[in-house]
Amino acid sequence: MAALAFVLECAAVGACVAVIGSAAAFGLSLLLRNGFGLTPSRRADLALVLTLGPALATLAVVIATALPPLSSALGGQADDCFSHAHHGHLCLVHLAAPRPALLVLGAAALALFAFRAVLLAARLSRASGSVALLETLGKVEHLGFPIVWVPGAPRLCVATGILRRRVLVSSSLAEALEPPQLEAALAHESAHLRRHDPLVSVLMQLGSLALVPFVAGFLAREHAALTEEACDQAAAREVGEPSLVAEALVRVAALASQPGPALAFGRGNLESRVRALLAMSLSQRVPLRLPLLAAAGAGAALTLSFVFSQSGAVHHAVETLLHGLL
Amino acid sequence: MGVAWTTAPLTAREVCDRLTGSKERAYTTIMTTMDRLHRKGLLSREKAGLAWSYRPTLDRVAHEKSLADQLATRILSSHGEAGLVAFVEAVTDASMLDRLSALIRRHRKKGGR
Repeated sequence: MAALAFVLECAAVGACVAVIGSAAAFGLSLLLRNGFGLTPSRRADLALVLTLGPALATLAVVIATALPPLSSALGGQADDCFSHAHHGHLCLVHLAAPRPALLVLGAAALALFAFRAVLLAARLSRASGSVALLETLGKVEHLGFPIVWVPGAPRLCVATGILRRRVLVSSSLAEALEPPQLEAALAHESAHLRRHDPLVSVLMQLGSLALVPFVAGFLAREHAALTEEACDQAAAREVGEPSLVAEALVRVAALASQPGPALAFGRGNLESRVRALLAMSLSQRVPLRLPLLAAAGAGAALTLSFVFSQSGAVHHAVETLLHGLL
Repeated sequence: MGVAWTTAPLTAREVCDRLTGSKERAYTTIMTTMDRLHRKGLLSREKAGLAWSYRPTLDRVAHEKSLADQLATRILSSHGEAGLVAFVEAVTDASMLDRLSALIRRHRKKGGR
């Protein structure tokens, strides 16, 4: 019973941190919309950082909070259990007056998290199964990255693969496009693969599990739109003609509408992408991604190591805050 | 399905006899599989004495095309949520597509690239 209460209380702590992290990420992403002169590629990376940041913070606080009672339980001695008269006590060994509101919040948060995680796993498994099966019907050609020409009427042009990166293109799409338009479409998909966007997309989905669903959806849409713009620009540099990429976008959007699959980004996205391409300058310098991602990784590692080294203080601070709040 | 495409109509016993080596399966497994394929609409069947005689409802090419259509549609509807990144979404607003095409033409006329 004490263990169950402890798990639910830790889940409630995670939910509280996730809500605070979501609010912060949402506020910062609204600020990010101003652009600040940053390239779409850089802004997409910042959207990724804003999605993963709250997830890491939630994980760190929950682990740091749970660590002292866990280590005490493993060592057979409860952590400072007898000095908690002035506030609540998160303990694996003792059931110290659990607060119903905290338990209900923890149960709800845990159930929502499990539901979203199962849904995500099912979606990933279904999509990778469909891709693998479709690939067996196609023919592979190596043009930089492997291009798999697949049969089927729906006009498909997708980049996929976390480790084995490749592009799936419907033969029907290749037949419907002019060769330069097809080259532009493939350049765009290759840019996705160079940026490891299929992997980033999965990371975004995982990070989204620790965000409020509305904020997760908002950040995912922002990230997707910025990533598309970044790859449009990379493709334009590769083919040397932004209007050609814009033309390919309009042509594929028109062709793809014929079998009637669902819209995800909507009309505003296509229009803004075309306008951004026509306004772009080929001489604009492309910023390196590595420094930003390395700085974000180093920042996360430092924060995590600090939080874990101070797990006793974090545990006590969380107990005090919970006592004050609930 | 491979056996049925090369030699149809045929019974579960005949499929069992044709599957040798690593593909060899128990007669009951073949019978169950063929019954499932029939229920999925991939095989049609009629009575041949005591047994069922099966034949494919589609030839191999038509089956692969139909399968590819289903898979491609599924991928298009799930991308963006499942580690797939598509070139562009479908747009059903023809007037917007016309407007954007005109915009690109004007851009090129002005000497833009």
